[in-house]
Amino acid sequence: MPGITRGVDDFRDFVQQRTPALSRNAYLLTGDHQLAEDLLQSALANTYRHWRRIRDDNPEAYVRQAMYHQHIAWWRRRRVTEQLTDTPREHPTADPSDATDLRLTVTAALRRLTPKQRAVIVLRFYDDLTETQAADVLGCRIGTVKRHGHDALRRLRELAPDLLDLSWERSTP
Amino acid sequence: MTTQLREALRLAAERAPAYPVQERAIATARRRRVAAGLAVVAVIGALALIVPLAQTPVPVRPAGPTIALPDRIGLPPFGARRDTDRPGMAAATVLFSGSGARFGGWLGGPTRYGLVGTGDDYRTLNTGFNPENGGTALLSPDGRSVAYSGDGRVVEVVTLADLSLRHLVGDDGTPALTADPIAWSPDGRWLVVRGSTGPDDVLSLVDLAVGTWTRLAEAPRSVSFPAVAFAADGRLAYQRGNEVWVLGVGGAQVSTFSLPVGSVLAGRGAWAPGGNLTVVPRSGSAWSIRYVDPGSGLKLVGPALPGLRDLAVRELIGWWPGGSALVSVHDAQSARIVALAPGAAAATTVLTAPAQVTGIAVASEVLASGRTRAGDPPGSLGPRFWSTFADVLVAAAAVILVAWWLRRWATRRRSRRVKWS
Repeated sequence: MPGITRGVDDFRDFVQQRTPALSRNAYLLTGDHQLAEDLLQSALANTYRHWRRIRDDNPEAYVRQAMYHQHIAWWRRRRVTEQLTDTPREHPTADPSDATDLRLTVTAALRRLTPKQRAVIVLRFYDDLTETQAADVLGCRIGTVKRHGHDALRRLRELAPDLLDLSWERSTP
Repeated sequence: MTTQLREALRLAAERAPAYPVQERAIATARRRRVAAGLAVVAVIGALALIVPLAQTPVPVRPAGPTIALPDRIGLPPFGARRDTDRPGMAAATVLFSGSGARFGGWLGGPTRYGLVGTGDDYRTLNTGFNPENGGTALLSPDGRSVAYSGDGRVVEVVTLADLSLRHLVGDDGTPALTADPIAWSPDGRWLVVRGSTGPDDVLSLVDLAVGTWTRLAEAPRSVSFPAVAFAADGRLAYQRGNEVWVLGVGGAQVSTFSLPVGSVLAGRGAWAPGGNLTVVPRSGSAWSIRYVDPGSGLKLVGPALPGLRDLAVRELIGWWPGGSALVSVHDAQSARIVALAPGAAAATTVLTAPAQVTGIAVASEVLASGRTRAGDPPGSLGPRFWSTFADVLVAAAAVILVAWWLRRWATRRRSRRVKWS
């Protein structure tokens, strides 16, 4: 079965090349290594099922979109037990001059956002996508992306003021 | 600006190792594929079991011993099953006509008859003509067939169980324009048909076994043949003007006599159980049954039956085994069937119908059984309505599904165009 073997080999090559970048995205979305690993595995499993159709197109976009949607779907299923609070129980301390503190601060703050807010933050400020591109990935309107981005930044400003320059008013498209 | 945020995200992301999920992802995908395949097989298997069961034809029950006359009938529901729906109806007990939307009279005249099955299975039969404008429909003695006027000199006979349709085309040389079935022999073999040439009416006897037509008589339209009745032994009596003609099995003339003054033959059930004929008053508010000798027409003394007053009497339709005469009547409110028992002081209603019902016929074998049962007419909405409603729901769901799928496809297509760093 040369076709199938070639398909598996292609998929393995693709995963091998792109796993580091995809893992980083998964971790930023979940803020937890175990969840990130599960998320990436699930998204790759979905991708593998449709590999023959998408391998010549843009498989990475498919995996990333699968991750974003899967992450939101998981949160919907678990939101009964996972409660967000209006105000943080503890304010993470941050010293922007210290890389470790900065990392811990953003990780803790991201956990306080809703999955869509988190997704928009990652897409806009880590993947450097425009609002239009972020809307395409999430399958929603640009207005929705703007709203989630605005809410997320407002919340981050409350949770971790040092992450954002106080003079910031509006993100560029 | 957001430089700090970008830097923080980059630093946080660097903490993530490359997760070793490659083989597990492939294994998960394969497991899901196997599960989906098994689910499809299970659904197909379930359908393969369910569909044949749902399509198993309803066994045709013999009409004889299980049939009974319902004590009330209702209107055919909107979306009632039709006589052409499969599986067919084993046998009908009642055939009725009426006015209004339930009988297909939305814009024009009503062209549908109602059929009541042995288990209150209601169906409609579309004959294509409005009964009030001429044309008749006749239920066979066993209730398994209906004969009705076709186009021109044609009688159509539909068998309810297997939905077969016969076209009986007049071949007795009569230049008649129409053909209306008006009486059915008790053994189901012979059908009396009244044709019209315009100025005259023609009475023919149709042999259903071979399809031949035998011309019996002709009369001017004004005289016509107001009543035709088969006896249990196969004799046929018909009224022509003021005369009654009695024929033997197959159409051979036995006798003829003049009716008593002011009388007419009682109707389809004019043969009394003892073998005598019955006559009723031609007009007037009082209506009562009298007996005459079928050979001479002389008045006879028979069981005294109560009379009827101030009712529009359609006809004597038959007899209970106990000797009660069953009469189809109509008053200001609705049509119904009453029983006139020997020695009783008044008539007893045995079947009631809603106001829109204008005519009721009952299969002879149902009358001969002497049984009645509680009627349980269906509600306003019938199976075809719900079936159509379900179809609309499924279609709407399909449209929504396709729209959702197209939207998802478009979204994915757009997202695949995004170039990632």
